[in-house]
Amino acid sequence: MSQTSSLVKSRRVIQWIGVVGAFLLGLRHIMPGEASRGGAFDSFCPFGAVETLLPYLATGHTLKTTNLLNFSVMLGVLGVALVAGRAFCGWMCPLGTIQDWLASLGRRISGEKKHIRGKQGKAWIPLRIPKTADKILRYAKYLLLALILAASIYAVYPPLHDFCPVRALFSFKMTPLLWSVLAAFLVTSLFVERVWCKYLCPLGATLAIFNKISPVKLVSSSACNQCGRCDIECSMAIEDVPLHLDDAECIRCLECLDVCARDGSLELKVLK
Amino acid sequence: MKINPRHYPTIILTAFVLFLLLGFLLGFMPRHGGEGEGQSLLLLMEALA
Repeated sequence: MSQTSSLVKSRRVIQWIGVVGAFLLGLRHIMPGEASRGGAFDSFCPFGAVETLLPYLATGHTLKTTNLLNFSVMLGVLGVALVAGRAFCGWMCPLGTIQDWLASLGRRISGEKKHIRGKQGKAWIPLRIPKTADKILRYAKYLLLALILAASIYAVYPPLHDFCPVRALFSFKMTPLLWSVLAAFLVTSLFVERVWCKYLCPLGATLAIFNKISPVKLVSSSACNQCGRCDIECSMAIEDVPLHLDDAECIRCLECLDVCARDGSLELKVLK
Repeated sequence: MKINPRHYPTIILTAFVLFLLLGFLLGFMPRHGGEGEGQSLLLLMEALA
């Protein structure tokens, strides 16, 4: 679709801004005295607000390394979710972008010189997890979210603090555990597309419900001939995309809309 | 109502910025030297009550 080719470019630009922004925040974090001016790296994390919400409501104090800024950032993310579901995951999250890049790298090193959008390539990476395992593993992020919320009541630091891949990638303050998290994140993301988003991201779990209630939605029409181009391009590996457009797993990246060869098959609409 | 996909990035960015500003207006901003601090939500809830 000619009108959406600029959409992909816009997405790439916004994703780059997210990554560069996270990188700069990480740099700021290691500058002398910067942590005392406005808060630590964690205080810019939207999920930090979820982690610190219960302790804050109970005691009036946020967990260490978080502060009130987390709530503002989370409100921004919730604003996006209220309008367009998990669009933050597909468009703004620096972790999601890094995973997209790693998946692309995986395709290249496994033999696909140039990825033709909507066409199944020769590359054996990224791997597709067997259906049953994939379905079960996708619930892990909800379990992780529940565990984090429960742990946050008694926590001093945010429960995800020592295991967070965003900190491992961008905070520049590494611990042996964070090095392990970084290695695991890079390797798994290389082999399985958006592995963190699909199976473990507690922020994605928090935002999933908004896919059902947000007014801006993708809808399919009878013009769709189920060609499967969108299925191939879906980084969240949703099957039969035109039939599952409001799936909780959809990150509203609109790659399906962009790759669709039939005008009018998929449309972006505001639904009442 | 149909939306031109070109407007989608503007829509989500505007939503993000507006709600972020709403957070600031509600007082969710860090204080100097502030980690593990803040009472504004509780004060707001008390005021609303």
